[in-house]
Amino acid sequence: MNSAASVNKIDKHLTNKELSEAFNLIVEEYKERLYWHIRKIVLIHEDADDVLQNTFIKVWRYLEKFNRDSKIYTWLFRIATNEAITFINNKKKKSEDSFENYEETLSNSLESDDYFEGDKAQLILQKAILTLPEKQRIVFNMKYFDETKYEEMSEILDTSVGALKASYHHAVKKIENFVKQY
Amino acid sequence: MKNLNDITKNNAFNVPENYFESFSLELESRISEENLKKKFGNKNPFRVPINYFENFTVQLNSKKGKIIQLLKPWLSAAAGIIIIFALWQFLLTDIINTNKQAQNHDSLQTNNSSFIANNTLNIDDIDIKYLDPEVNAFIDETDASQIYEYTNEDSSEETVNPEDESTYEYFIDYADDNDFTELLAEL
Repeated sequence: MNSAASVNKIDKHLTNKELSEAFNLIVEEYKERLYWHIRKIVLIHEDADDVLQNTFIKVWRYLEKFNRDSKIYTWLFRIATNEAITFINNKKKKSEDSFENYEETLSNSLESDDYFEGDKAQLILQKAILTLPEKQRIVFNMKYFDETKYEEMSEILDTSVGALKASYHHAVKKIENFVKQY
Repeated sequence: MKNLNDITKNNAFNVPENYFESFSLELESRISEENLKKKFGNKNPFRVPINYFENFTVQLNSKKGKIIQLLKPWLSAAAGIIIIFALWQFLLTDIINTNKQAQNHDSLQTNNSSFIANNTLNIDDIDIKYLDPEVNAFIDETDASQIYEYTNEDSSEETVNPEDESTYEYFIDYADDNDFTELLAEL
């Protein structure tokens, strides 16, 4: 089944209040795209897996209330982004409690991560991305790696296109400055 | 339209708001992005465990099931609390109603007492009607207090005043009619 047909089928199930069928299709259709979106925010596979599951649990819980004012894709990505941010903030809090720097710990663990197969240059780039504030990091990842349109990003992140462009510009400049050291 | 000169040469096209203002910024970003991509590429450097996506749905369903199992006792507890609360509300309403009734009764009694205290009932104000028209006529003509005296005349005990002369005469007559020894025995 192609993506458009699948989305139509999800829509049909939602209209008929067949929530279970709609949910199963949503998981099948969006699990990979959402995973990679989350993974680029949290970096570690186990964390991404946790956040992805939490995202779908939330989707399952609120699917009945989804009013379809926005596209299902936008709604899912918004939930995933919020879940990822909440996850990071919780981790940061725990790190602060144990006098650790979350970004530094994450950066170090990336080097020994079995599921990271980037070369040295890519590791530097990831470390540079980790220096960015959360929102800038998300904007950078969505634009740089996924080439998401600003309009789409605006719907997901609930931020104006102008603000997103400015955010991306700052992010790119900061990364450029960071990688100059290497 | 006759010829091209009839059409104004004004620009009919427009650009998004602030397009030129933000253009240089966007261009600068694109150049930096291109430089980064040239150096680092934008290939996804992450990977997932083998069959991760294939097994994800199974994992998710088991987590969903676990959450339902975890929620079950809480849901039962919540249902229990709701039932207890409903019963409590019912009983409370009942108690409140009973108390209200008792209070109403008390206040009614208080009201009655205060009514009695504040309102003196005048016997002349009472309109008494009897079936016998003659009795009715008598009642209408006679003052109520007189009727009261009249009706209680027989039952009222005669008071004995020792200083009254008639009392003395009564005892003399009594002594004449009865044997004095008998009188003493009676005493």
